[in-house]
Amino acid sequence: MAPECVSARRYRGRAFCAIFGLIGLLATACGGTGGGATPGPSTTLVDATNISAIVTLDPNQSYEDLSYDHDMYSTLVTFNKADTTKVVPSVAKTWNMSSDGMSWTFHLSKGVTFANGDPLTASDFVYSIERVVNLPKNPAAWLVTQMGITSSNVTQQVTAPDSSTVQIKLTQPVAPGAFLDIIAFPTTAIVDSKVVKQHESNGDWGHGWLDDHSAGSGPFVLDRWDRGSQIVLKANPRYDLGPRPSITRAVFSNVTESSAQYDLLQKGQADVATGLTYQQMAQLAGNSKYKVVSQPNLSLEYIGLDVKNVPAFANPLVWQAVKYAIDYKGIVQQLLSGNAILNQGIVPKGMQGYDSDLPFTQDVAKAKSLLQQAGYGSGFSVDMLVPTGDISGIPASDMASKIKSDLAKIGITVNPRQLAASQLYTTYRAQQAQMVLANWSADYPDPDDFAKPFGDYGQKSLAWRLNWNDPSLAQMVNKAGTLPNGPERNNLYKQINEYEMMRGPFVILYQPLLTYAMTNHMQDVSINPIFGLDLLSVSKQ
Amino acid sequence: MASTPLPITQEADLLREGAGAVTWLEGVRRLLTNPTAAVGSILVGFWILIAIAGPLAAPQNPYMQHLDARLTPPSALQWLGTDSLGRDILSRLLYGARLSISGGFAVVAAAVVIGTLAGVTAGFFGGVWDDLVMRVTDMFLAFPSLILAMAIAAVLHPSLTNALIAVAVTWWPTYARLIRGQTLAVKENQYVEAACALGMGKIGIIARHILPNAFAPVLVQATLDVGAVILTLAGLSFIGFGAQPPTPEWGVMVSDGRSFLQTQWWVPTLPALAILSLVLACNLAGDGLRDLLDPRSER
Amino acid sequence: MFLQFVARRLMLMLLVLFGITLITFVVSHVVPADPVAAYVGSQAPQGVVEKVRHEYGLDQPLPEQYLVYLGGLLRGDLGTSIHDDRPVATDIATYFPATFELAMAAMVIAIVLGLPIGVIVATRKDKLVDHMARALSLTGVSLPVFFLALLLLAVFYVKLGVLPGPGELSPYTQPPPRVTGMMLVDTLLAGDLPAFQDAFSHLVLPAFVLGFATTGIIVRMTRSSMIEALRQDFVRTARAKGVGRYRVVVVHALRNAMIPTVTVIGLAFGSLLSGAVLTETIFSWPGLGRYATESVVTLDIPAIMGVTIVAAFTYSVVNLVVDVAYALLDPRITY
Repeated sequence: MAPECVSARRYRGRAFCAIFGLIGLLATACGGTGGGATPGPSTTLVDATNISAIVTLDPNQSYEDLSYDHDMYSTLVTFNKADTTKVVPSVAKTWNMSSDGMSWTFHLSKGVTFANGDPLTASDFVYSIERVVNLPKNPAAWLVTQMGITSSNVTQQVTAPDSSTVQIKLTQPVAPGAFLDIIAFPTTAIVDSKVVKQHESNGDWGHGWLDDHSAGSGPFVLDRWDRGSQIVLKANPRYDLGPRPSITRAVFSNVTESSAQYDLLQKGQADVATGLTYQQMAQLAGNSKYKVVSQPNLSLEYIGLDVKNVPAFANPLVWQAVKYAIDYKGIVQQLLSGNAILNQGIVPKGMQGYDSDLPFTQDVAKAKSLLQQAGYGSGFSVDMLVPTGDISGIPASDMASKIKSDLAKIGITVNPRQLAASQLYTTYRAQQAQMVLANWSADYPDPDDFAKPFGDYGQKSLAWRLNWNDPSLAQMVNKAGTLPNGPERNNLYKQINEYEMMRGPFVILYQPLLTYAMTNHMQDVSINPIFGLDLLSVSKQ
Repeated sequence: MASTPLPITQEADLLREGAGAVTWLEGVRRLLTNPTAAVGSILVGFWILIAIAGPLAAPQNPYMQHLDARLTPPSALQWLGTDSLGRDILSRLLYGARLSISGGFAVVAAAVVIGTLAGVTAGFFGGVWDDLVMRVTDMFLAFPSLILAMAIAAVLHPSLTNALIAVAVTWWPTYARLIRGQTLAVKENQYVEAACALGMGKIGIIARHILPNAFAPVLVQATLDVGAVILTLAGLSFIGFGAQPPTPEWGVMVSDGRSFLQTQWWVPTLPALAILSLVLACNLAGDGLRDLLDPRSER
Repeated sequence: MFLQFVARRLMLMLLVLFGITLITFVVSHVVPADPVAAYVGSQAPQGVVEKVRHEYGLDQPLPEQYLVYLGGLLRGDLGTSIHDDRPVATDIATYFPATFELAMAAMVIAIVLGLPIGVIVATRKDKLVDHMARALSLTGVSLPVFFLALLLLAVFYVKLGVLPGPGELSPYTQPPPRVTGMMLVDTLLAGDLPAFQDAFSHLVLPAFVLGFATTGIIVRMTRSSMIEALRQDFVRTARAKGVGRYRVVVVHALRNAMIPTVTVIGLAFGSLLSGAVLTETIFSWPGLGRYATESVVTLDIPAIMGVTIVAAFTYSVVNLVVDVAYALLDPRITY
């Protein structure tokens, strides 16, 4: 009996051993990193953010978040940090425009090199532009092709007369301000043609390689991009187009859950978090260990009223009625907890042409009387397309509910229909929507990028999607698009804004803020409305 | 004359006993002595009651926003607190109960009906039809359920109804297989042969002999599945492919509240506990039913 | 005979795979929406949409698209993702190892915890331990996995700080060079022990959450089949012969109880793949589950099809292995 008992205990013991062994392994796991609260080396920055929208880091094709390409590559000119409506020299020292505005010449600084030591010459710029218009399936190509430069004429239009001179000839007039804004944009960033050509395969213009490698002259180079996991940048030791950043390593960690971002920030394992909810940020703002920094985003949230598909919306009085029915302050202060600014014009703050006039506040009586005047005193019902997911950090459905209840007060029954983005765009682009809750953000920081879509039916953009054709507005918008920056241009945009407010079917709700939560170790923080957190200036204690 | 009814009655008893079915009296007795089944049934009953009467008892409108009273903790005014738009959580839970329970029942009912049609005919008639049904169920069963449901729910417009359809599509093969197995087992039994010999039509045989015998395991599986379906629906809603906000569906409530877990814990936790309680009830009831209906299974 | 059995099952599996591609194709193309519109976004000019649609061949008639797709499949080409313009096969190869690692770890936890507990409570039927285990396993299959994940993260990471947060590695750890894509393996291969510890500790919580429900199932399965086995005649015979109780339990009963448990493990694999979708989202785990969610959100048809087919394929293979193991283990089964 004894031998069996011993073996029996062994078997039972084995069961327990297995369990305790696992727990023991867990114990060593705990002994590992645990939940340390050290802020890490002061030259490393960890940003808990969402990188799942990034599809490529090839600057000439990048369309989603351009901040990484902005850090790794240089452009001929760049935006003035203090005032992003102005451009300043970067790779190009000086430049001039021909008197007819159809030709530009840029003179490059001498001695600029890429991160690997290769000299940066004018032909690198030319090659980069060639890539923009030649890369297959390039969603960003239109930024350049809208200036009349396409794959068939790029070699004639964009040339390098010598190694430090670039010449660009346009085939159609483009406002100088808009042109320079596009040249400052990462889409036209300069890649090292020697290196990229070496990695070309099957006529892909090196895209397959440049997708997740860097070949630029910016302050940082790409250390690694683990898709879905993180993007890591490290300092470029050869950078000399400006003062060197104090951050030498930047880790952008993919953390899609806001609660997880909050946790990482609290535990000191992230320095910055970009996706916190307003409640979470309010929680942190009261704590001296953290701070919340914000900047108006160059985008606008609006409601679009289709003037053809809904009989009531053919009447401009009804547009006005809707504009007077919305509780703008309630949306900004209560729904968004103050994380937006009121803006009722079609140009966001931070761009020239911005109009700070706010003619509309909620006035139910006035709205009702306008509806009465229009002959819709008994109200009507309309479907509103709403995207799924979040808008400006709150569930889109919450925004939709608020709008629904605001308009119900004047007798308009709104039926929110939540659709996945793809379905929504399909319907909207097919001019089939009745009412849309949507957002328009800057492709490049020029008012033209807003005025044309909102005002010119011929652009086949927003006004077109809502079947709204207003030739006199279109004329104003197109003229403003050709004027050089100055008082005349600003005046025209003021008129355009007023026109849209008083005689347009776009109900501009607010302009969202870009908000970043961070620990107080972060100093000299500046947020660029286009590129987000400025890695060049920020430092960490 | 007296002898003719007797064999039929005896046969009837044979039929019933052969299937291992229990009479009502026996059932109640077993229920009372089996704590699992008892607790499960009571809990399920409780939730069904809530589903029916809940919305009538709800103190406030579950859709009404009170933007000045957001994220308030449980208090005398709002017993379970308010969510991010100031809506009363208790009322939303009560309305949501109806959605979750009816959703679970609807999906399982649909799956059972479709599965029964497919499975019973496959098992009974055999041949090419059987092979076909088997291969089709194989194909559907090869998909991890959530992924297929996600794909279906996503390509249809995301809504509770479409989520129900998506989940039902992934669930019916299990029942087809189950019922087919039962049909095959019962088909060989002597009393079916006897019924055949007595001249019963095919449909009659299916209806009176095969289906009642298959009933027991199907009922057990169905009860357990109601819980699993509710979890799947909540999971779908959580990632955005099921019920859409502002519908007070529990999965949506947890999803909406997930960023508040550490600061205003009641917002996501209470709906999650509701899900837990309901699914637990179904699992307990299912386990209990299994004990009741299959005297040979040992708990 | 056995080989014939395996061969027949393989043939059936191929037929099922064909059906899977058909079902997936039908499901993903009965789309009221337009994935190309999602890809180019709301701001691109009107003409770009048609251009991109044509470049991806999405304007061809459906049967033709299917044939093209099938042809590609046979060559190992799963199409090109619309969202990130990379071959879907490359995307899946990138993300699959992380999910595989997670699922395996979950499975290991489920078996290592579930089997012994199941054995123990089977021998202590109806005692307190049994009821506690039963309560816990019932909770495991009743609690929404997304909530369990959030809860455990809040408790073990935030409040107690004993386990690390989301992600495969701490942001300060230099990741090892990618060899297999599985962090545990790669850190070992690189000889980087601190990174291995980091990876291990990051794996614990998500694997536990993912495996929790399966642990419960294995406990119940093992328990009931052990109880069943312990009643059998051969056990009584062994006891009568004087074999010790626990030897009987492990050597005789457990072996027989393993058979249905093996089946459960096969089935559980499918639920692990489903559960991974939710777990990976919450733990920011760069795996197939998260890729699946993103593809479905962006209506990236080729990616959805690729993931579904790979998942179904893996599941079929696992079930085939389980069926064969089942046949081998149980001498009563004839083939």
